[in-house]
This record gives sequence, structure tokens and C-alpha cells, in this order.
Amino acid sequence: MVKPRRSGLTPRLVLDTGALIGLERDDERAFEHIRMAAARGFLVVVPTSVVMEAIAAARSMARINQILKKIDLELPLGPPISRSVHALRKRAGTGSDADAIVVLEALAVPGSVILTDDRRDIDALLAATPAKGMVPVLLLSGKR
Amino acid sequence: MAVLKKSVAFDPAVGREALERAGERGFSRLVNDAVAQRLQALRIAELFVDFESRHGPVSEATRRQVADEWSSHVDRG
Repeated sequence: MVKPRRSGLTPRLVLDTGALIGLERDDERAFEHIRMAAARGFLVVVPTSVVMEAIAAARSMARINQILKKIDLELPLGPPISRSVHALRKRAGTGSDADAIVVLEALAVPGSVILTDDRRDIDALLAATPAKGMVPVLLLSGKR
Repeated sequence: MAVLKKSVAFDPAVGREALERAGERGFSRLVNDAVAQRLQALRIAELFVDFESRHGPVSEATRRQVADEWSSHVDRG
């Protein structure tokens, strides 16, 4: 499991693919969530694997590039995360590589939050970590 | 990794607290993180202005709902 980095780092709002697509499609709640995150001193971040999935699903490449340019915090996949993805997915028994990376990036900085459009896999992955219940998950649709 | 070095002046109390919290080795990281967050907040504000110019203001219901979710899910922790 990835060890949390030392505290004092800026907490993150980690976007999953659905959240990034929500921004690309002008979802009002997605915009309000990133506005809220920025106002509260969070860094809005997007793992590279999420960017790859979102580009494949995007309706407008120009729009997704515009969003990414403004966010400008794409997290490259490094050894601590890449070496933990398989084990986490195996323990959870579900989720994609991109979902597992979202969870691991949120766990890497204390106080971080995940924004997703579908919490089932994210919840299952979080439940398979020692930090179960410690990472808030916000939902694009607002449903519980 | 390439770095840009700049001499920065701090309010003494701010500089002391930053050093206490981050230590000498973590000082640059703390300052970089804080500046990165501020710059991103400005870019997100621009993105938001663009969104509202095309769709009108975010509804009061959405603002309230999202604020409630942050309060109940994030602040709670």
C-alpha cells in the first residue's frame, strides 16, 4: 500500500473519469464542486490514467483539453502507485486500473477527497484499504 | 527535476510558522504547493466565469446542495 506523504501538503480533490467527463459536458454540479474545492484550498488533480479514459469517452477533444489546461495538475503514474494498483484491485475484487489509481492518489495526501459519478467501485476499493472510511467520496449526481 | 529559484520575502510570523511546520527540507515544497493551489484557484475561477457566461449562474439549489455535501462529508472528517 502507498504510504501517505507527510502532512502539510495541500489536500486534493481527485477527479475520476466520470467527474472529468462531467466538466467536459458542462455539468453544473461538477463545476460547483471544483469551485468549492478551490475556494476551500484544495488542489484539483487528475491522474494520467483518468485523462486517458476521459479522452476516449469525450465528445469534444477541444473542450477536454481546455478543461485540463485550466486544471493543469495531471498526476503522472509513478512507482509507488503503479506497484500498488494490482494488489488493491485484487483485494477489492472490482474496479478498473484508473479507479484504483484515483483511490491511491487520494490516499497519498491526507485530507484528500474523491469526486466520482459512480461510487460503487470507488467504495469497494477504499474498503480494501486500511484507510477505509477515511477518504470522503463526493458524487456528481448528488445521490447517496 | 528542473526548478526555478527565487528569493522570497515573508512576513516573519508566516515564515517562522512555515518553517516550523515543514522544516528546512520541506519548506520549498510547502511554498510551491501553496502557490500552485492559489494559481489553480485563479484558473478555476476563470473556467467558472466561462461556464456561467454560457449557461447562466449556477442555481441556488445546486450551490446549497454541494455546500451541504462538503459540510457533511468533508468537514465531518
